[in-house]
Amino acid sequence: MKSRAVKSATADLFAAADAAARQPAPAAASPPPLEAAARPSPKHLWYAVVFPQLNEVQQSAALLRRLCMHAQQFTSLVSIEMPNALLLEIRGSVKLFGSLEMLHTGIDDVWSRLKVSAHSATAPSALAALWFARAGKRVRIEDSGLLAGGLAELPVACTSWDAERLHTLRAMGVTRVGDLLRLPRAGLARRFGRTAVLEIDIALARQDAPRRAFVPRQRFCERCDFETEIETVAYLQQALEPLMGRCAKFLRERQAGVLALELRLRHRARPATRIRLGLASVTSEHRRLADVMVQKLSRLELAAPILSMELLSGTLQPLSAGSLDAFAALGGAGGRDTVPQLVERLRARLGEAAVYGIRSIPEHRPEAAWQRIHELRLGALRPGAPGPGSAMRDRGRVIDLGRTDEGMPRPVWLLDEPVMLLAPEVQQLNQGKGILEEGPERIESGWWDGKDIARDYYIARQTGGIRRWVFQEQRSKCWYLHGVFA
Amino acid sequence: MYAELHALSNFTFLRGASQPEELVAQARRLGYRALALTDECSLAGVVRAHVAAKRHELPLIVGTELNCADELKLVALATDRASYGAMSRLISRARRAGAKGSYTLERADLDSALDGCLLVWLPRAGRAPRPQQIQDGRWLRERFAGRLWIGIELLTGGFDVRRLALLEELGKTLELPRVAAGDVHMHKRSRRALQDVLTAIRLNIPLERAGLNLFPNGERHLRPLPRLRQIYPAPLLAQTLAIAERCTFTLDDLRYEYPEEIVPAGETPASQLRALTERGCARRWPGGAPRAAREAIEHELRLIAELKFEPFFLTVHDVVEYARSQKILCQGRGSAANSVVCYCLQITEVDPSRMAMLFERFVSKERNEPPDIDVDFEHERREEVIQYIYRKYGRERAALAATVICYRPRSALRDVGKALGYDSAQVDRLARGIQWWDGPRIDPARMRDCGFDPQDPKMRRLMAHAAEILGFPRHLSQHVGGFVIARGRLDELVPIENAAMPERTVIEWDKDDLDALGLLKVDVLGLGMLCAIRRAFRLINDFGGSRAVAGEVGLATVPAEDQSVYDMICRADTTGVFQIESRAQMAMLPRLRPRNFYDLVIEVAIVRPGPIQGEMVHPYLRRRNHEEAVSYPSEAVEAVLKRTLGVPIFQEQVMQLAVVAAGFSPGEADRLRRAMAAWKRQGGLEPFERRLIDGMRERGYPESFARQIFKQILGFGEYGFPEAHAASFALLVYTSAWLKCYEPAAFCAALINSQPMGFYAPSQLVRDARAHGVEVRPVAVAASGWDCTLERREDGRPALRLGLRLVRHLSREGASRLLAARAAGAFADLADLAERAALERRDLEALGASGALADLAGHRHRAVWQVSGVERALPLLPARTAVDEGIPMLRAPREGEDIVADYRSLGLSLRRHPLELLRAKLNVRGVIPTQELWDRPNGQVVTTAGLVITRQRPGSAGGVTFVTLEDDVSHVNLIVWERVASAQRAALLESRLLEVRGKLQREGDVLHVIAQRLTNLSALLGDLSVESRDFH
Repeated sequence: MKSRAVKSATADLFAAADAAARQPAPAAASPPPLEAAARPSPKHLWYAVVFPQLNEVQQSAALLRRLCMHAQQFTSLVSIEMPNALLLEIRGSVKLFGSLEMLHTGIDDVWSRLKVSAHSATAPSALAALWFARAGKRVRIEDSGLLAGGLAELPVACTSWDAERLHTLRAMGVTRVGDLLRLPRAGLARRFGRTAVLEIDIALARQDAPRRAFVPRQRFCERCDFETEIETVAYLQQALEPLMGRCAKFLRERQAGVLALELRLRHRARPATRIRLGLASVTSEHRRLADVMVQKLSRLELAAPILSMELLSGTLQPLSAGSLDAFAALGGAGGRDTVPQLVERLRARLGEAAVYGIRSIPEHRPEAAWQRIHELRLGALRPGAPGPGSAMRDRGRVIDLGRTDEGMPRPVWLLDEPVMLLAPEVQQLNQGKGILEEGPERIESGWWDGKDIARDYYIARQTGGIRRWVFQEQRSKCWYLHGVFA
Repeated sequence: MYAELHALSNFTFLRGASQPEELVAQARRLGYRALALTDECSLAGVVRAHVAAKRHELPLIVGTELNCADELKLVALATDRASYGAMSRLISRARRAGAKGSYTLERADLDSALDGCLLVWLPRAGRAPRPQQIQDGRWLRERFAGRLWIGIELLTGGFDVRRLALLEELGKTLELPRVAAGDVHMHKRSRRALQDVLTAIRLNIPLERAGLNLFPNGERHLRPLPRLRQIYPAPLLAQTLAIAERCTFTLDDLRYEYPEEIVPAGETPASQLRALTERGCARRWPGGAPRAAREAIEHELRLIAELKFEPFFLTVHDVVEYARSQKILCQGRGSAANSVVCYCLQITEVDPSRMAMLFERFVSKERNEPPDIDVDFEHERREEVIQYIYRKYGRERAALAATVICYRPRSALRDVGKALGYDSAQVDRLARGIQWWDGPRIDPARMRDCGFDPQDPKMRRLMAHAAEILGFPRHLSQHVGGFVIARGRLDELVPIENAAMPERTVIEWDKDDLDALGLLKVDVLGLGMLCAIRRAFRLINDFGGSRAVAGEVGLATVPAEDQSVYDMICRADTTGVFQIESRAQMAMLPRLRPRNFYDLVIEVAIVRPGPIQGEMVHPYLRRRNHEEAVSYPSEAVEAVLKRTLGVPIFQEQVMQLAVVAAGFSPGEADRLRRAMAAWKRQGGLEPFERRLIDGMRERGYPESFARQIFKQILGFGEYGFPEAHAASFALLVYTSAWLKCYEPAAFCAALINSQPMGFYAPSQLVRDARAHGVEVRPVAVAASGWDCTLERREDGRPALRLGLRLVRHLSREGASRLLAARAAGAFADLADLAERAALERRDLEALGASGALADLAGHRHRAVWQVSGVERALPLLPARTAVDEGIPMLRAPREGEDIVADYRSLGLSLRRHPLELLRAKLNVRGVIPTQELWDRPNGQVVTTAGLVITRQRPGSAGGVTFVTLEDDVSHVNLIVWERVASAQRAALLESRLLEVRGKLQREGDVLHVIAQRLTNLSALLGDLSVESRDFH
């Protein structure tokens, strides 16, 4: 694994969120606490932040989770307000930061460091804070008596009520929250339902509202600063041990595992070293994690002394019962490695790319008809299951049941690159008709990705009974060897 | 030595990758003896192939590929008319049994079907014979003995040798002959990539995931004979010829037979037509027909009888009679429509004695093909006429012609883009980059505008294949109204499919196909203006008639040749008038200055792409204004062109020129006309060009004159108006202009009630009416009907009351209940209205937003508050009790808010024009009101602004976009040259309020601004919803 420079924090953040958005969301490791149900009394103080650029729900969920992790350094009470906002209960943190002003600014700084555009506000009710933030009014109101006056100026749209309701209000000439507050309560309730009135009361902090689900931390992330710079790998391993332990514990508590870990080593005057650990299957097992880490570190050459290190887990993955069974079944009885462990150890030593499985793909072009796969799927390892490397790829029936023209058999083993046949060999092919056993099978395909081929394939029998898979390229008329039948 | 018996064209949608014409031409080039077009369960492409095959002198076999639900695959080939009918019937049955665009064929359907057809069975051969195949073979042999073959298709799949042996063996076992076939999907191997794209589109997956669904190679093309000889044993090839020889059927064998029931018992078609014509003649000329008309009648009847076209005229007459009995306004047009016979039969109202037309031009002896009559009906009531035809002739005998929906730039980019793996957002962005005005091509610059690199290999593939697929048929749709009526079963003439609309069916051939085969069709078209005219007549008559006419106003009683009407037309004061309301027409009117009916005929015909591209407009205008001498190269030419001052303006003049100046026979001239219509699609005018120019030279005309005529012919190709069409339209032009001139309130109301139609939205129509002194009253629940109506003013003149139909989101049912409740008694207040009319909340809100409740509830804000407080009516409960609640202090809307709300709800406002409110802001920007532009000198650079009401980019105008801006005082017309348009595309296309800086151009009464810089000022409008109408 190469180490590479740390990219800017924002880029990193968005890249991660992108990746998360592309993957199907992992099933939650443990059911999230439904209601942390903090019932806030007026003594609560809420910081709301709205990220106006987030509006596509799919993306924002992942991104907000990331942003939430950053917010958790200020208070443990952070909740996500879909689609684009966070709410932080910060009453308890004011003292820590000296003043509300400093705290508010401190949180805002996080967003500007991450280069995400954000509007924030603080108010004694969560809803009011949110309304202010949505309207882009950066206020800090601690006294609930001042709320009504402050809110009055906001446009009604900051309530994020549904478009129909907002439309009706606008048609009545109600454009500011102040206009709304002037309407008779009974009339308002009759037109828009009691919840509308209730919501206004909640915003004005006249009414308490339970807050929904604070977000638990979704990843392990711990940093360790060294008092003196570390210069050897041995010391690093030693220092890492407790961190690994805590990571495993973190995972166990959430009944979750990971497929990847990352270790970041910071140096004085050069970019951080990033070490990624890939695992062949989801795990939370301390011994396995540590084992792979040791293998990995054993190949590491320190570029510079280390000031601090940070261990991050990848996205938490559900730890299925199946995977546990499989460990037992394939198990390391007698001290031997399980298959995943073996793969991990081989990879840690030989490099990630050296160990892979293969999978067949329904495609006419032989080169494109198979694919390397890196994550081991346990099913594929069970004896008897058709899987990587099964002897004959079943062409022709994978998608289209209607097409039963069976092509010629293909060899399991293909050359990485077809090899051009030498003149005498070509002569042999051209002369002896009996040598070309089967064919031609004409393959003309693949223009769409720029790798168009036009070839006539034959099975050629060589003296000695070896059957070779050869083709003649249509344009150049050159002959190539592409594979050998077992 | 070979005939291809299994070839699919692109009329097997998303499978075949070549046009039928391409297949025919290529088969001919390769020396095939014959080609069978065997589209999958379809004959949709076969007429095109037939026409091409005749041109290339290649025998064409009509056939079809049939795939049964149980995987039995056959190709059926027609041998004679009867077997063709059987094939067509089976296709119809399978198509009718399936969903639109697909078919369902069970093996049982083949029992006692396909009589007389030859069948090629295509067993799906694997590496070993299958018992199923033996069974299938026996099953087929029992039914089709003596006309059944096993088709062997060797496509270099790897096992061709074994496959051949296997099928030979199967044949021997079953004692069936074998024949070679090619499973052709494209005419050349180079279409392989396109064929892959089509497959991906069909399966709706990107190419990279299409995998084994794609063909492994490009062998499914028309292969050269030497190669076929390599692949197939000679007997298999010889067998193709044996089959081809048995297929003697050609589409020329289809003869149209007219329906019989239009002639009462005891009459012949001829006697019936004569009787009806005589009766009509007496009605048209109560004092006896003038001699010329009398002679024309005799002449026409003789010609009709000679060609046996009586049933056609009787059929059209029958349809028109029905419409008349239902008081549906209609008007015939088309080359035969303006004959004296049609005038007598009341198919047209245009008195042909006012025209100088010869009937031969429309019905020619030599052509021996049905005449062309289209009938326009009020578009809203056309369905009644269609249902009448279905009732009269039955669905098995009458059906609408198809329209072939083809790939256009947007759909091509969309589908090919998806196939190449662009995601839906990218595909949308690409497709949106193409505008209606870009015409039928894909410009790489547009791709760059959308943020794509045209040089990127993937993008280049997209552009290439999208260009290739342009014009490929995609699916069949209904023609707007071309009816085919058969004497016997229609499904034995052409397959019938399900149409998208339930209870509608469509045949597989389109208008051109029917034309090419000389089959008769009756065009039942819809025309919005007829609706509007009928409505206007009705409004006027209900109001008590017009002051300008004694008695009832109708198409026949509108006073002819009224000079005030022509004065108005000459001022280009023609907003809302049929045809001459377009920008180009309005610009022409002050120059051409029509003073009589025939001038209108010319006006209608001259502002068409044909005359414009043929450069006939300016010579005509110069001659009309005596700026250029009128001269003719010969007397014969003078006879043809005299009525248009020596400039050919009508399509038939061009054809006549070919006759008198180049020695064409009338039949040849007509072939020239057809070739003109088709040359853009398939070329083929060259032989005519030579013949025309040589002919003229021989007759002593200068070559320059000949070339000019040919150029004019090209221009007429698709767009020329025949004189008869123009005359029919001119009558509606005059009638609508008369209405606008004398009855502007009724005319405006009728136009609004007939929306959507025409160039202008209600907003502009109302504005125009008010400018002409019409009092327009607002929508009000106490006074408005659903439609706009006329109310009597104190001075006895009509005022226009806007109708509830303008209120956005108001349901028709709600409005009906409201009107019924109002009829029972005036509404006391809002609660009374809501209760008695049992209005849904949505309807009430729509009314509140429109301002229609002002009388009951006060200003809009209060109305909306009250409306939203009305409790929903509950069934079974007694009338709801009005809740007693106070009305809060809601501020009244500001004027700007009211205008915005008016536009949002009604699409128009009777208050001040939005630009009046913005005038101060616009002044600061140096914007000159449009009215003041007239005071500026020609050539000055000015800045002006207005709401965009129309954008128009006529194909004939060489890339110019015309834009009309409206401000609070008047209009101004912009000319945006292509260079400016493409550089400032966004401002041009997206602005609702547009500021323009440009050069003033004045020519007499015509004023334009030649745009240089466009600025989008829409933000100033807030959320005013102003809609532009865009035309091309």
